[in-house]
Amino acid sequence: MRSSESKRLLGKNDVIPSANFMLIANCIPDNLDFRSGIGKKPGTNVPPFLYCVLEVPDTTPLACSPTMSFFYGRRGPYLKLLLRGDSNGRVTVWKMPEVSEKELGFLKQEQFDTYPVMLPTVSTSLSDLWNSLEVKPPGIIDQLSVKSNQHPDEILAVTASIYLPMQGRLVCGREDGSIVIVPATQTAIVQLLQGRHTARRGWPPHRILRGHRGKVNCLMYPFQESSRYEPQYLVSGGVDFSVCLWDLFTGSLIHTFSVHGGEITQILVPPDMCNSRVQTCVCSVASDHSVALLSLRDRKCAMLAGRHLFPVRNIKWRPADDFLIVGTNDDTVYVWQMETGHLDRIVHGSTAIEILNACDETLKADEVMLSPAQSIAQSLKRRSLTPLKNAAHRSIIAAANQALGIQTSTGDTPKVAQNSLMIQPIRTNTKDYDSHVLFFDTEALIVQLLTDDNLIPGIITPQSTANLTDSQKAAEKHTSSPKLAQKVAGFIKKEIEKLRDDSSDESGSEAASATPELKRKSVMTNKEDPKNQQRKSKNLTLLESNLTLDISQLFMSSLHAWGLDRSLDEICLTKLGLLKPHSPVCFGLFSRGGHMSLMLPGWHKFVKPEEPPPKGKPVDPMQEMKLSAREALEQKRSAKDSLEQKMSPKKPGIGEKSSRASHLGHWELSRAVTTQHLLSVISVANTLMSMNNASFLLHSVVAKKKVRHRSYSHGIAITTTADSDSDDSSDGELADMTPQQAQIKQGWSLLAALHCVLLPDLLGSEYYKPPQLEMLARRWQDRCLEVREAAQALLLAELRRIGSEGRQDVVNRWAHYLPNYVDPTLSIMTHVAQGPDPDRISRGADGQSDGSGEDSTDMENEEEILS
Amino acid sequence: MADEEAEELASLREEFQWVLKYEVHSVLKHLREVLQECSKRFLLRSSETKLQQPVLRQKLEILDDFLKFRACMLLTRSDINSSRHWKISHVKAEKFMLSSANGSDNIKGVITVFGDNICHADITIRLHRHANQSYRTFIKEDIPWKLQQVQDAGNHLQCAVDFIALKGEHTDFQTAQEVITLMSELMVCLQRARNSLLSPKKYSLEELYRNKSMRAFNPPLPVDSIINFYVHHNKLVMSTYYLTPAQGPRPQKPSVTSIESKLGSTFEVGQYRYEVAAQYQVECAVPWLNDVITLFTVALQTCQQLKDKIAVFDVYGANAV
Repeated sequence: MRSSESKRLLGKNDVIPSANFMLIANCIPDNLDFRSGIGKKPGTNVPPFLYCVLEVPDTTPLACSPTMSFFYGRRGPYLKLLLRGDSNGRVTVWKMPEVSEKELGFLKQEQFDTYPVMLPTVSTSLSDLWNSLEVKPPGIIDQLSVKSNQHPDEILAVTASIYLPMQGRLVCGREDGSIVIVPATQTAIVQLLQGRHTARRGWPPHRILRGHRGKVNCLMYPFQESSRYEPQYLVSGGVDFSVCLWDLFTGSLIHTFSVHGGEITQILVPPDMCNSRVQTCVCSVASDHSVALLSLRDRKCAMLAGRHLFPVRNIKWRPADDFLIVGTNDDTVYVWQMETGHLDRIVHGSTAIEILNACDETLKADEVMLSPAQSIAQSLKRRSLTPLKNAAHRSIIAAANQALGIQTSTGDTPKVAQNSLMIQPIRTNTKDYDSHVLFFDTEALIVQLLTDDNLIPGIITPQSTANLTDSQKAAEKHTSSPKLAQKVAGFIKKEIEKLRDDSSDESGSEAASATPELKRKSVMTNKEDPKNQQRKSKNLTLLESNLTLDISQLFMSSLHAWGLDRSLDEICLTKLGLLKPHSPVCFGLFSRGGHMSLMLPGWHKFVKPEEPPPKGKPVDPMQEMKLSAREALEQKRSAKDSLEQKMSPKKPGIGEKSSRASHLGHWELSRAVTTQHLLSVISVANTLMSMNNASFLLHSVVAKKKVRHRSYSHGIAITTTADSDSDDSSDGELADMTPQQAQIKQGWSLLAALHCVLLPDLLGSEYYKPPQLEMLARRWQDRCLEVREAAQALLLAELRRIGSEGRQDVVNRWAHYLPNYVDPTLSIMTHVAQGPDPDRISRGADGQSDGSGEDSTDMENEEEILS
Repeated sequence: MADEEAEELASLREEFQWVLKYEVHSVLKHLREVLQECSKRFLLRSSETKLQQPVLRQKLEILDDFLKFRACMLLTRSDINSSRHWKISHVKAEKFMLSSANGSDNIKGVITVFGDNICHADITIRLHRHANQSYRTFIKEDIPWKLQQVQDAGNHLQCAVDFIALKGEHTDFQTAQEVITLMSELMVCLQRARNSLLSPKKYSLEELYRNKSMRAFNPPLPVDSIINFYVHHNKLVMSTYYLTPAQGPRPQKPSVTSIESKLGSTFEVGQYRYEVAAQYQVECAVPWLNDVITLFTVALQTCQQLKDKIAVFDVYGANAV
């Protein structure tokens, strides 16, 4: 600060902290901040003089005193701002009133009863912005979480959730203590896409487990962590101090462990090398700082470690020494013997740190209690790497098979268990409710589409259809045979059970009017399958049906650039069976390093004026920094739900409007996002195109024909008794559909073409960030054939788009890195400078992969540089 | 059922109000007492100074510290044990005999500790190369060896004391969040204070070699030896390293090993490379450090207990008005 102006400010700055002290003294910042002008001459002791009060409109009490800062800028004529940030996340800005010396003199003579109040110029917080959203992003199970019929807007918040990729189900614990199990893709489709079936009551099919009083804090599916656990076990921990063990398949409560004296905060799984007694246990942590090993097999507590004086921070294992090591918040380490339950020792200081580090060395898989954000990264890191490896292996097989023209025989490939979809709950802090992010693995999805033998008849090439239905039958029989006998025997009992189940399910969502609902549903199920028990059991276990198709439908529907080409949109809706999103979908990237960047909902609000979205910009450099082409594997979309969010009643126009706007925004976000997005959509579209009858509409229609009452089930559920019928009908339909097949093929190819070639022109340069050549070049030899082809096509299209000047730029940029053993006569510099060779490009665009000859010299060179 | 629950909730709320009104303050008072007891053992600025004149206070403190420090020197020179008339009564210069844990007699020493200074030391080391030749060196009052860890602990403690004085005593607590925030911040200070004593910072050999505190020795140490003092729990440890010029291949990267064993590790000074040929440790237990650590632990536990109590009310809805 300088000049005479500053003297007053200085005085003021002296006073403001003292005002803060007053606030601190009674610790309710009473929303008044004093601004006092001080006398002109700094030498004389003029008492501070209060002439204006800056008032904060918001009156909620704060946890700690707000921070203040004074900003004195020279940009405008008078830019004196007082900033205030408080613990509720609110930023308030006042523009300082200009008071001249003379006015100050006047003011001094007056007597004030009340001081003039100045309201802030700007006052905002993130939750304000969130609340101002026109269309709130949907929660993952909103449709099932309506509290009561009277208040359809109130939604039970999801407090814990876990995704079971093997069954494709999402398990959500809610604040009222109930646990909901839903098929993940179907609930995601309901929340995100517009479809006829979405408004239906009680859809998606779900099951509600009740046992906790108060909210569910954590969920754990032990089988997912280690195969030594029974696959039906689901463990949940609640605010009511109890840990519940559930049977996931029957939906019954097996046991309630009540050993803790505080709410359960976390459930962990001990590592594999522990002794056999510990192996059947899960480890639960409670807020009374106790840690327990609960044996799922014996239904009792194997060990309770409860003398920790401070909250538990990390838990580590020394299986070889039979030690459970608990680190607490005060940097103390407690060493417990697992077998006997003795507290071996308590260690502080540097020794404690050494003990913890030693555990890391002996056992990599330690469980650390991280902040939510960290744990996402870690869990993703942990979970996604193995699927990636699996995917690599499978795609190599698939690619090889395809190249040889061999159809993968249905018996050989095991049922694909890798996860092309992951749903990860995220929360911004521990008190928030869960939001969910959907992660798609394009490569895994393609592999699944190509290898999954359980696809609908229409999607499989005719040669294999007969083969398929047989094996399908066999598979059906095989999977259900152990239970079949029991089921037939206990048919009546089942029937009753089912009714009970249904009623309890329904009462979850509508406690008041359970009876009519129950009737409707039971009638429905009865009509559905009067003869067949097998179906019923499927229905009970929530029908996992065709996961791959659901996933790819969800994937393509949200990736497609809606609203750019009306006729194509029409084709997508009517022929390809894609569904329009309710509201714009948010995209982000996930790197191999476990970093995630995600555009949060709300960005599209800023798109409508003719300026780039302010929220998107900060993400951009981060992505460029963090993600290299190979790292960024997964596109993802977010579905958010949170406490304050209620589904606003849908105005008729909104869906249409937002779908029109949905193509804006995310294309201009960053080049990396665009690249990944295009690559994914094109590669999957190509995959679908390569199949016959690959329409999502088709299979739902087929299914509808066969089973009237389930308008949206996927074809796989065709059951043994209905087999003869369905074979006939599907065969007949296949014959009919040849022209339709062509249309579908054409539809996919149009879709691919739109994204590959037409998009830049349709969007215009200001809404479009072109894909990164470098990223595409690295994919030139991608291990997955479809991705490779898509990358090649996209790269060539992009090279053509940027024209000879653009290509020249690229070459110049990379020229420094080129090895200098290249013969100058053959150099790319001369080669490309001649301009595009249309012939070469078109040949390349055909997807003749390995770039034979000089087709792709420049690209290959780029690739060399990058690798 | 519903009535019962409502009743329960109402009484829970009342209880919560009581906790906020009385219990929190009594805990804070207790905390303040504990911390004051603790701060008596450090050379700290007096906590009675009023908060009203922060600048003046700060200046006074600097002056105060300086004066105390001078006084300390004078005192140690004249009469070591007559610091009784000091305002902070517990801080006094104490003499300790350093002894080796395993009974070897390579190093002998007597040190005088006053607050965070080793203001006098008389050390005899037996030289590594010439086993029967010994070397005697002193630390004198004019250049004391500063125990950084003790100073850190004191400063963090002072932060905590100030924090209570500033926010705790006269505040009328309204929400659970306020108390939890206050306790968390307090615990951060206390934790740091305690950790600075419990986990000594690890220095690389090179850092030790270049340590300016080594200049405190008079006559200076031989070139091939390093002496370092550090606090570990309630013990004051002096470790001595003997160096020999290293032969053999250069190691990949200099590693910061644990404080205890550095035998065989090498480091470079200029073009010379040294290897640690021998390492000896002598230590002495300092009783007041033990007290300090205990008091820190008590204070931390008190904070945590209050935090837990408040959190329970927070969870069960008593906070909602």
